[in-house]
Amino acid sequence: MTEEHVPPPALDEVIQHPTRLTIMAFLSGCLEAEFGAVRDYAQVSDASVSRIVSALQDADYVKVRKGYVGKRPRTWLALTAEGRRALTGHLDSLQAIAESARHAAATDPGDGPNN
Amino acid sequence: MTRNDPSAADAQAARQALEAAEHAREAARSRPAAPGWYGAARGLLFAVVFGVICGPWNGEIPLLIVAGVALVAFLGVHVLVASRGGVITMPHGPVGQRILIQAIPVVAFGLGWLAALPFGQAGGAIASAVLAGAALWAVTAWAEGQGRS
Repeated sequence: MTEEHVPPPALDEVIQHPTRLTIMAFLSGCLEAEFGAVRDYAQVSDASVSRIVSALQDADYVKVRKGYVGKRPRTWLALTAEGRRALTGHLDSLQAIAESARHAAATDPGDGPNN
Repeated sequence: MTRNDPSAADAQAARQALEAAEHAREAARSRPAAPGWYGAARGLLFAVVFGVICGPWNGEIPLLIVAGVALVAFLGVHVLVASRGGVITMPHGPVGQRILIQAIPVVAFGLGWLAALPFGQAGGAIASAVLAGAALWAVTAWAEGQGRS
């Protein structure tokens, strides 16, 4: 008897890195976030955030807005609609992986002495 | 029989990633509380702006200047407080609730104009400005409290 196993859905390679996922998830909790707030939460350097944001911008997941607070320049980051969809899909994939492993563990007869 | 199930390590990594993502999302939603004066400032500045521009005195330059300054201050206070902590959060609550929050000051403004019947334009302008300002103060304070609950 063969069982058909549906492979886990594909994860989004753009978001898969933990820091990228952290930044995407942080932005999903707000309309916009200032660059410094994102950096402080992710606990990485300015250069790292810039690199990640550039990659996410290239994928059309994040948009960047330059503004001023008084005379001080500020950079604001926000998820695009595509970014929100991609994040939702990625989280759904992670959830499916977690649940699939749980289901497999629950139904696996295990290796007996005759195998 | 072949299996392609995720390994326990994969599942553990997936769960950790999900927890980290949820933690990050909640961190963005949880920002410092608005200053205690925010609701009062919004309500007062709103009342000044509309009390001036809707009254029979709206041609007087000094009052128009006051209204202009109050309008700029109203917008400035909003921008300052809305972006506190470096995060501009999403509106909270169901759509109906959000519409209600916006509608209450508008309704109060309209009801205030009933005072124009006995007291003329001046009475209507003052009553509507005061009622709308008070309503804006109240819904702002309520919305800020809801956002932290």
